[in-house]
Amino acid sequence: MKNLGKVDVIVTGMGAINALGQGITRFNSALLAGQCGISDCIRYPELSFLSAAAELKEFDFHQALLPYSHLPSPLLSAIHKVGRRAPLSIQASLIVALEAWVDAHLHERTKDNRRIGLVIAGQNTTQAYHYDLQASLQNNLHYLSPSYALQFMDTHHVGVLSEVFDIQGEGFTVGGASASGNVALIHGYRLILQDIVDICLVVGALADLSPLEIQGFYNIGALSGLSPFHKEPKKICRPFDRDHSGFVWGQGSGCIILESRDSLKEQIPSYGIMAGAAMNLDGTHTSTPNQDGERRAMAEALKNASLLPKDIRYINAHGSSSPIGDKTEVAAISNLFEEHLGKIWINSTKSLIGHCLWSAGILEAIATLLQMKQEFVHPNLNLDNPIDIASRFVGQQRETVTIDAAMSNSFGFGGINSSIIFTQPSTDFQDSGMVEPKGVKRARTSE
Amino acid sequence: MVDPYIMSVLKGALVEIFPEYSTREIRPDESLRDLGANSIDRAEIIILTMERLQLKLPLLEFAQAKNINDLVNIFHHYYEALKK
Repeated sequence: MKNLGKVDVIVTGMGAINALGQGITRFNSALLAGQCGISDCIRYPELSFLSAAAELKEFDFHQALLPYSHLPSPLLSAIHKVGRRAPLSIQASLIVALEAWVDAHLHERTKDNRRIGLVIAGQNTTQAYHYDLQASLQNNLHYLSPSYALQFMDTHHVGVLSEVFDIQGEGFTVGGASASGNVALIHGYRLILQDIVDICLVVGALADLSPLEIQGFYNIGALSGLSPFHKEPKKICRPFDRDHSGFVWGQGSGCIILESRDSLKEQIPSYGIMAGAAMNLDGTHTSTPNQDGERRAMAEALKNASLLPKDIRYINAHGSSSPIGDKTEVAAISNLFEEHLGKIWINSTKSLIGHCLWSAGILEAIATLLQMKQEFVHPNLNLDNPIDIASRFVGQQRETVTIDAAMSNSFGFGGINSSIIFTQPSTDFQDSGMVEPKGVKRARTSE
Repeated sequence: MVDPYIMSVLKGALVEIFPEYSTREIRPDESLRDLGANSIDRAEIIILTMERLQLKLPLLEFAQAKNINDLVNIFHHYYEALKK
């Protein structure tokens, strides 16, 4: 994929909610502190093998909107009306999209709504909604709410967000299994490069799994179940550690707003540039990862960004804590980066927020951009015995690092490989005053 | 004269969809449309009421209803029949 016309695609707004809390500022503080959002699973205590999950803590839609009470009431009423009785995944998307929208000052800027696009990352976003409804309705399907016909589809995210924010450009959902977030970012990026939109909201849908999916992931051997640490939830997720035993389910949603720098009419701060990306298939329906496919995705992403392996200072790995997944990714990275391997910091945000599945790619891109902005790399929790000594994994304390270019990987079942490159806003434009680096509000309490 | 029990169930369903009406008196001559309910809201309110009254009626039964009074009467008719 060529980067058509060298248009700079910048990130102007971000929003997040996950097991570490709500909001970008909270997320940033938690990354700095290396906080673990994983604990006992509250939602499904009946699944005895399920030792841990990274669930949203005490989420309440009304409460989550309180910080935005100062916004115009038509916008707030629209959000309340459509979100109040909607599935959790829709509520989370509304919250993060609102945060990113305000972050990018879109509530104040003049814009052409037909030049704003919307890409939702995720598939099967209503599993728990469906499962709970079946249980409560049993034989009384007659009483099924008419809104089910709208809400059961993943595209309800598209309808809801486009209504609330009056988005009239292109909008759709994309599926990429665990790589959905990156796949969505890549599609948003292409919409801008192809001059179809100037602004694109990319939203990662919260994976609200039912007991079926969790049992399924466990039965296929992907979900960490009865590990040696099963009585200590915070120790179960161990990306790249000798005792890794599978992923931990995470609930989370994230929104990234991409914009064409050339189309900006006013000075808007940016978190960084989405400089390049690539995705490919391994030609398999299984959950088995492929070293060549992963390597190829990373190599093509670098080429698309017009960068070389030596330019990368940091990789936000897929790092799901799957034994075969971690091993394959390490081999692919070593093979590609060769002698530069020792100069590249590697971590996995999954040890802090769990595997957020459909929104993993979005939340991990956000974590990448926050680390680039704040000049640090967060710890790899539980990395007691790294599976590879040549790789420069971040230890259990954060490190201070200046990152000019970073890579974020996501690999999904069905042989879906993806890699995205982010770079700092270029110094040329900083001089012209057009784009300034984004400051991140620090938490008031010390971490 | 509307059946007060049915009226209260219907109002409960209305408030489920429009919490802002919880403290407001609803008159039988008003229509759900007047109160801001679109077609999906109206179907939802009717189905919620049916569920609470344990009635299974086709939505078509309510097609001719012009206001809340009409809706309550239709429900009342079938609810009474059920009790016999």
